[in-house]
Amino acid sequence: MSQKLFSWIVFTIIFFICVSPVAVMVIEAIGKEDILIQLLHSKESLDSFFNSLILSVFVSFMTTLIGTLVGLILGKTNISLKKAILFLMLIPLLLPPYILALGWVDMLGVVGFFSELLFGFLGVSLVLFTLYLPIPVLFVLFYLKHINPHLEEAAYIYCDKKYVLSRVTIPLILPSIILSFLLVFILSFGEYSVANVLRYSVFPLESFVQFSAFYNFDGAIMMAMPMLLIALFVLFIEQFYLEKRIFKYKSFDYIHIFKLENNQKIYIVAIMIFCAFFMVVVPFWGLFSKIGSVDIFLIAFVKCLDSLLHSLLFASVSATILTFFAFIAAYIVYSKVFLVSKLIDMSLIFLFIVPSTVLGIALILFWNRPWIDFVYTSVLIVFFGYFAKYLFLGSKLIQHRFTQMPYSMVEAAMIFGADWKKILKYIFLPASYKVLGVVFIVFYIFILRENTITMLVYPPGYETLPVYIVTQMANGKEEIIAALCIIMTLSALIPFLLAMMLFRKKERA
Amino acid sequence: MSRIILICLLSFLTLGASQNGSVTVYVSQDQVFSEPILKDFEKETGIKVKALYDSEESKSTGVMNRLLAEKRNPQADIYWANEPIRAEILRNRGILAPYKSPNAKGIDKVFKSSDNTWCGFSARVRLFIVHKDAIMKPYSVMDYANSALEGKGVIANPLFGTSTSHISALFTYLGEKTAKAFMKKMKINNIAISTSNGESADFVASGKYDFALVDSDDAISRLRSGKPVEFIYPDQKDRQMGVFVVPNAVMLIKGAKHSTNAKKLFDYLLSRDTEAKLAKADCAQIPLHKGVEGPKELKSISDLRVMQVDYAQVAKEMVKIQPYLKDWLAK
Repeated sequence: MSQKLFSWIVFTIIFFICVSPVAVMVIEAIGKEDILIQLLHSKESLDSFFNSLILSVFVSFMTTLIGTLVGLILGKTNISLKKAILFLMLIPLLLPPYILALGWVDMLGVVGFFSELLFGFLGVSLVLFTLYLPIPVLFVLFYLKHINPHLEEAAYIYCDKKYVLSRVTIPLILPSIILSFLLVFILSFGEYSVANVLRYSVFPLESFVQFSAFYNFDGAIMMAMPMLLIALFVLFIEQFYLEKRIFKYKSFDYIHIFKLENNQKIYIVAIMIFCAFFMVVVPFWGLFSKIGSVDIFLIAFVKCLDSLLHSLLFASVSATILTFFAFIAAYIVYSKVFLVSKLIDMSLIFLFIVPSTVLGIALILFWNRPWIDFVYTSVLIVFFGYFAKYLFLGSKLIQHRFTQMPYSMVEAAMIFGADWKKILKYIFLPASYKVLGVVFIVFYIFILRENTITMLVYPPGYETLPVYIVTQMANGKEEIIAALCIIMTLSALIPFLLAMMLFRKKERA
Repeated sequence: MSRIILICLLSFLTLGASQNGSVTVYVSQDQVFSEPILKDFEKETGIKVKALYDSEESKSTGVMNRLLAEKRNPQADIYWANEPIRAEILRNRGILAPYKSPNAKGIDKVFKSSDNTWCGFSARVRLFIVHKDAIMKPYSVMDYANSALEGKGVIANPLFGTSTSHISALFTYLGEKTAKAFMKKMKINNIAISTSNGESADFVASGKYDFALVDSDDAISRLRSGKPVEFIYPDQKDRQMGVFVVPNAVMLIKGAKHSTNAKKLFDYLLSRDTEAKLAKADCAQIPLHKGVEGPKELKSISDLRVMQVDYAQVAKEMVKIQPYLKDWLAK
């Protein structure tokens, strides 16, 4: 089989499983614009749209601003406890978003001055800010490794730190800042579980309710259109501005570090630890204080055992299959096979930025047909949801690894007559073992924390832990829900920590 | 090795596909209360229950919508709804199959459909949760429009849940003109709107508002957790409309793939034992079978003046008044 044919087959699979449901949804929406106009005329829909827009802009602006600053401090200064601070900030990203919101509710209660602040714009912003802060931080840290330190050192001869930072470092990492802004914007625009817990009206929830509470498919589809347009806008920026500036550079062995005075270091570390503590530890303390005793924890564990096992099974099996497909997709994109590479790349990024509610609704619309109901009635439909949503993440990480490989290895293999399959198997695969491990963990964690797509499409009897927690929120005991949140946290954190330890051990070896 | 892995992966992906010896049930009743009942059924009969539960996010109507979506290719065998209005909507859409359960005997015909497509069991009632320090207390739903109680009350968003059913029942009972006049007065009286009955109950428990019309389980849970609240059954005097009763409803899905097991579960849910369990549970549901012990804090159905409404009519009214309710909320 030729590389071209193989690439087209892979694209067809991705297109058929994931892109065509969204395409069918868009086609079905044609001619029903009057429904959208009618829906947007309703005060509730319009208010929720502006709420979402203002919330997403505010959250993305704040996370990008503070995240860039934190990233620069962690990446370019000589402060201590960098890894501990970064780890603390990363925790919320590993969990279903509503857990942090529930932690704050347990901490502040449902009445009183502080809860008035929590239940509304400020509370939702705080939770989403905490949730997405690691994104710009990680992007900046990643990009700093790609700045040629000699550029900064040359500038340093004539200028002070501030000037080097503002005229050399920041302009060089600007694409990562813009990308993280867009990513946070699209993620916060599509996120509704936090707003739902904190009783704040947002647009994706309106779309979800149109489908879920009114069974108004036409309404749900039309409510999805504005979100789809925003996703397309982000895709446009990514493809025509950022694409050429991202993931293309080789990383350098060291980063130029700005050395700080001792007292400056103490102040900065103290402020960062305080902020991370406030944003992450306080809500978890709220959850812990609600649990009260070990017995409650054990009761919750027994109750959720089935759904926990489903979660672990879904996450591990789906992560395995996704890692395989991400590797293949990354290879095709990297190989720049005429047209198809671009199509795969664009499809994956589009599916990643489409809000989960839209994707879930599209999957149901497409797969709920009698002649293919083995998909709709089995775990396959859940897997398709994960496949569509997260393949992009793994594919990009693997592509980055490929760009770091010396291309001369491929050229040498080609001179000796190796075909693309052999090159893939004996050059790309061995060179990617480490990144494949990382990609597996990324998939595992993102699938483990997922609840929107799963809730929309899971087959009876196969609910996952994040879904179980959401259904328990209806009249479930607060202490049990808090304990379930802690179990969820541990099930995400333990594999993450184990993987970190494993990688560190291998690096040392 | 790679083949074994492939087989494992493929068998994982087909998990959930239909199995004999099982029954698929869609549940709108809160999972915390319904799951133990379904687990007991599994233990007692050996029939595996595959349940799909609703969430608060979908305003407890998500699974009903899934039933509508699956009309041509039903996946569920049984639907356990937490109120009968949805049962009527499904009946009108031709999704239900008739089944006359032997355990339905003894349940008042008000709580059953005439064609045996659904049957009620274990009910909640709509009552006032009132803060203990409230100086003036409401005794009728009409007190929402009483100027002496201006700004003191709160009600859950009438577009969702049992609030919608209750308002629709008022429209059925009072007639459109009187009901609309009441709604208008309620608005003028500065009655607050909450997102759910639970939130209404929390507001009253905290003293933010004096009273709220909620489901009996919301009131009982606050009372049992020691909050300074009491409850009042509205409209209990002669010539008053009575309390609105919201029973659970069980129904058999037309074209169910496991109809024999489904009928067993149908009977099980309507049994006196199930009603007794639901009465003892935190949801404190009132049994509809006579002689089954109910929650100690609540009166039995026979001791209450019950609002006499036809649930089929309420369902029709609910669909009809949706645009009006949206307008009412927006103003």
